[in-house]
Amino acid sequence: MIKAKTALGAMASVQTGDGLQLREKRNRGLWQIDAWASSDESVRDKLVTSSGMRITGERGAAVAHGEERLLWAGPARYWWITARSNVTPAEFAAGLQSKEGCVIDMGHSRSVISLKGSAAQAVLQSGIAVDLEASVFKPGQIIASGLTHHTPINLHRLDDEHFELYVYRSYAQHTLEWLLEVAKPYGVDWDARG
Amino acid sequence: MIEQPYRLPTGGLIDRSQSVDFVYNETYYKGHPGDTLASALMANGEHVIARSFKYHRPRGVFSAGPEEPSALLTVGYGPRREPNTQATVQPLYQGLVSSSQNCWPSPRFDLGAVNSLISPFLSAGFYYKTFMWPGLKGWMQYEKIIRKAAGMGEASRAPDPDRYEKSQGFCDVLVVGAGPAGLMAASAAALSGARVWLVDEQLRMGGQLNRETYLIDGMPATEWVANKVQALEQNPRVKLLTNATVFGAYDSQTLGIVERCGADAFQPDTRQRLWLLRTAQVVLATGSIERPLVFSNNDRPGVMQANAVRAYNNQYGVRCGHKTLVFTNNNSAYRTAIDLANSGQTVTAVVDSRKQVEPTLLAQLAELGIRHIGGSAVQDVRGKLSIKEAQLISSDGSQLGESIECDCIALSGGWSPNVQLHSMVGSKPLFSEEHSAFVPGEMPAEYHSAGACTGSFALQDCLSQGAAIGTEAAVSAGFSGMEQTVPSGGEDTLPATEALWQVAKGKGKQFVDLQHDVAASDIELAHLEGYQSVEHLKRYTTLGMAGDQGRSSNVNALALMAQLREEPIAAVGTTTFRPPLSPVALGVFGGLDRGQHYRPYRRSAMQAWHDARGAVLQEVGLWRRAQYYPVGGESIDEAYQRETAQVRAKVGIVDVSSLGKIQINGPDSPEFLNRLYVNNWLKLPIGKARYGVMLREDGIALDDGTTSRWGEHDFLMTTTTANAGPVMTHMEHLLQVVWPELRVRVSSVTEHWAGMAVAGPLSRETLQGCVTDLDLSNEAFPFMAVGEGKIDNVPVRVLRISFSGEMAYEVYAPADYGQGVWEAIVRAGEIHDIVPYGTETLGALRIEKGHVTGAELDGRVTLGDVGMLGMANPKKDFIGRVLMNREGILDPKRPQLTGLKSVNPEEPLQAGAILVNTPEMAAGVDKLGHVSSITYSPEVGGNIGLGFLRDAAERRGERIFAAYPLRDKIVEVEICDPCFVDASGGRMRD
Amino acid sequence: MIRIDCPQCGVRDYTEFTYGGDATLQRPTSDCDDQIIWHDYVYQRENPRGLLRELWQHSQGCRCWLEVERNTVTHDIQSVQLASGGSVSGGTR
Repeated sequence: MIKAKTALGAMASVQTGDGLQLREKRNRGLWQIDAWASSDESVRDKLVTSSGMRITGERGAAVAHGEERLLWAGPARYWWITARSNVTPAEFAAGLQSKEGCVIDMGHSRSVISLKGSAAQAVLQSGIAVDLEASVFKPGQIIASGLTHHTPINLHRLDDEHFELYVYRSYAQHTLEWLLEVAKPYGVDWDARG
Repeated sequence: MIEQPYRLPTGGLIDRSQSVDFVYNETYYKGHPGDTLASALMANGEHVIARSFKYHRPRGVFSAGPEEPSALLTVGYGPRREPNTQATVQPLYQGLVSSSQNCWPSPRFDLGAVNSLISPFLSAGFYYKTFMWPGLKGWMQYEKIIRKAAGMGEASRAPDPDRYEKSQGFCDVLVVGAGPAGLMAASAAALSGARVWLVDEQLRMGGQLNRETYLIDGMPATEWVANKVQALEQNPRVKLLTNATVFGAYDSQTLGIVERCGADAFQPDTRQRLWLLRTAQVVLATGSIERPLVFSNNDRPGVMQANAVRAYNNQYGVRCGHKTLVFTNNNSAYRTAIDLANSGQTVTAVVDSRKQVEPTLLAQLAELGIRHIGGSAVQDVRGKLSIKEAQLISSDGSQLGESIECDCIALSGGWSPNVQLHSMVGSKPLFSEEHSAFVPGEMPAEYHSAGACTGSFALQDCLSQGAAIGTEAAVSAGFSGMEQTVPSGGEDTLPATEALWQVAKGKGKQFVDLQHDVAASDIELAHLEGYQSVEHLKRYTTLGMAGDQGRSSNVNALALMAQLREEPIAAVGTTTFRPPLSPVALGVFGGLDRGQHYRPYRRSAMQAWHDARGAVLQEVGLWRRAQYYPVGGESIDEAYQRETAQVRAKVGIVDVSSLGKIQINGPDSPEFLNRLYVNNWLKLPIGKARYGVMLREDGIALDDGTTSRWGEHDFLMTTTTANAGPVMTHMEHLLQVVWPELRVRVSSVTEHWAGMAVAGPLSRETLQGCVTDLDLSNEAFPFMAVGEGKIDNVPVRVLRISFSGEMAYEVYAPADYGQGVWEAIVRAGEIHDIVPYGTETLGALRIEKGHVTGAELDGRVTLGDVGMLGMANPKKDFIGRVLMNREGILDPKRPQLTGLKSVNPEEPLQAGAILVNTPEMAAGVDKLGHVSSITYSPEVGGNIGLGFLRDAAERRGERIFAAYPLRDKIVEVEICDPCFVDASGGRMRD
Repeated sequence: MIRIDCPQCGVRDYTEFTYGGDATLQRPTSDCDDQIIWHDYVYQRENPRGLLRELWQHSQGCRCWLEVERNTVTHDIQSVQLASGGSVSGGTR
């Protein structure tokens, strides 16, 4: 039985304080749903029904439901995050015609790091050139940008002091190392066990 | 010896209840919290603390701020040693270690002063005129000597151990400068609800108010400042930064700020922080700098800015001398005389170059018993390490006056607004005759100015203007302006400056730029030699090019040049100010992005396995791929040759995760591929892969790869590692800009799939030993077939494609299972002696087969060059279809892809070598082509390469030469077929 | 540091974008065989001092191609819109 080995599972835990808590979100699938302008609304309606999460077509919208997510990922593009064992996305895909849209399993393409704590915003702000002020980047929103200009990221804000950061799997270790470095003055709690 | 002999008994914003110990030139001294290094040294009677750059003249403190040109010391030691630190901005802290620089053995006695003796030869442009003989070789000898003698201070060569941070800032209104105008502007903007940043260069907010004895609303100005700052600190939408310089203003209202947060400790947590701030509106309340006057020996220790003398008196409680002379051409310096007298010091005289002076000022002087001498100027200063007396002359230079005993001269030549940031955003400063200074010109709409930098020198004007402009900026940023009460700053006399650009010459040099030791005579020389434009003046004399960027010298210099050119100053103009406004440590631009954080290091899912196996890694873009897996101390050559032979003999496995993988979906995807690639795609069966080449719009090859079909409208494209990004961008461009009517979606799945290639005659057996749910027999799974199967519990994709020319398969597993799947294949391959191989072997194998990669498809190469012209279908439309038929592209004389075999099998070729007919490496020899890739081939038993050669096909079997002049190598080679192994391709297809 | 207002993502540093050249060019139709016309499309450019309509891709963001009207002297940006013309990129029709 081959077990899943995530990008960050082997990175040593660090405990120096609680300004920033970092965890890797594991065992999550990521299905990308693409539609076209004319089919966007109907595909989205089907998606809302299948996933049980209500997303509007608004740019940057991000819905969280327990550990499930439905995220805006670009024009007529959505990410459905749910347990890897969940077969509903595959059923949804089977019910979609090619001329309406397409579904791609990208579940292993991203590592997702959860950031919590009073220092989360400041740490992220040091490397992201988008205004992360809570009144501007609100809970329930997601942005696509870069970290230190090098690493493409998506950042979902769940609450004032709670974010989920999506990075390409191959960049994950570098990104965690960077976060640990930037967060040093605030005290950091990274537990590799999850 | 009295402790701190020049410290006044009371007064100042320092904390007299505590003392701070510091070191200067290996001696202990005491100061107080709130001191700068300059104020503490002066308090201790150390007045000669530096030697000037060129002439090694003794220097003391000139100013009380960041415009300081003379008091440059080295602060810190070891790897933290920082030369050329302005003592006037360095906060004093417990344990600070400082030393003078550019002098030996000490600033008071410096052997370098010999330079002064040869000063006539060190005038402007002397580098350009001297050291001419005997030509370049002579210069190289002189250069070594000059290098030792030149420079200011010595930097540490050790790595910088400090922590520097960078961050991104966002706000609605940035206010630069926290003097009276800036504080009012920030308060006004904050009141309207805007997010405000208030940034000041100095150690505390208040600007000029900290140095004066003004009253605002009846209270001392410093108290008013403290109240204002406290109110702003309590506002969560306001950010305050002190000891921070806005060093650059760029497009779209972005500005660079360096916050020197760690300047007050030897080992701070963070030394400096860089902010890249993005704002909607900017208020520049940058104030003005007091100009010196130009007269002989005006650089002596003790000659200081008038406002600095009163700053040391009022803010630091330090006297600058015992007998102070004030020399001025405007009213502001009178405050120095008055403030000094009020704190019990002796002011020997106020020498005013103007004939008419404000009667109220004269009355105040008279009341204090201070002598006033109008219509006069200081012509010369006697004394070297300290001032003994000042020689006066009439303002018009006609009549010599008396000599007055003094040990400090407080100078004021007028005030120059700080317009550097204005200039950076394209505003050309305008010369104002009224102020005898440059004031801001037309500004971009998002920039506003307030206070002394606009030429408003009266306190009340600064306060009201600040309030009004702050509101204006907030309104421009979309907030509704709120009325703000403007406090009362009392009556204030305007400077009423009367320009006196140069006093009649005395015996000594009249300095203009103190930091670079540029004198009025140098400006005259430049003018004489034809360097009359302000840009030439700057570069020829080096005036304004030092660390202080001419803050206290630019305007005087321009005025002198204008006089020489007999033109108005406005006609001469200023040079353009460019960022950084003042020196910024390189470390802060790097921030934490250094060492391992410098660039991302991309890792495949199998990285830990490669590391454990001792793989030597190679940088391929941002990836670190295994280059080879040395066994038992092998060299790279031994390793890759062993791996290569083993793959061809048995089986090997290589990590190909970094290759680009792009998912292409949608009803129009076959049509899209058909337009993208030169060959046919509409009828590719599901379950099959096909090799394709795509061209650029100009007909040159862009990339090659293998695309497979997994469903009617479901394709997976592979690209080379380097081209993954560019090809993705190319496709998105076509779909969004060129053919938006096509229903196609492209997504990068490079990261989702961990990729591994299993190659060799035993590759099928190996995979049959671990893959289930997929029939891998040759009949069911022929060459170029693709399918889905499982390895253990993991669903995998298998593609029978070959880069190596052997029977080969690529296996893609979802990345989290990558290492587990790799290990399963290795286990299954153990009985077949499977060998892990790296990029070196990957290269050797494909070169042996004549498979092209980016080394061949280098952006200059066409389909015809690599013998693939037949691949293109001219009957359909594809990108590059028309321009690939240009005469020059189809020219048969173009170098063609060829194989090359080293005639001496042991002699390696060099990639990049030029192919020539004869062994002479001389200029003008006909270049027939070049070598693009090289390797040692175990199969051939010798060194081989691929390259491009004119008439390659016709010349097969002939011998030519590969010349590499850079290393003086020339290798004889035989021209052969680019495919060295299994020309029929049978191994791949069995 | 030019900042570009992406219609999908808001104002971003230009470093998040990839420059794509002149947007005023008309790509020849697929049936055009004239080498001169194709040559002009690929190589010839006006170099205006002033406003230029050009293509930028928001490569570190939504990946949309944008048409930007920029003043080549002052870097002022007059307008930004999706290059595909519709409200959604890629296969809009």
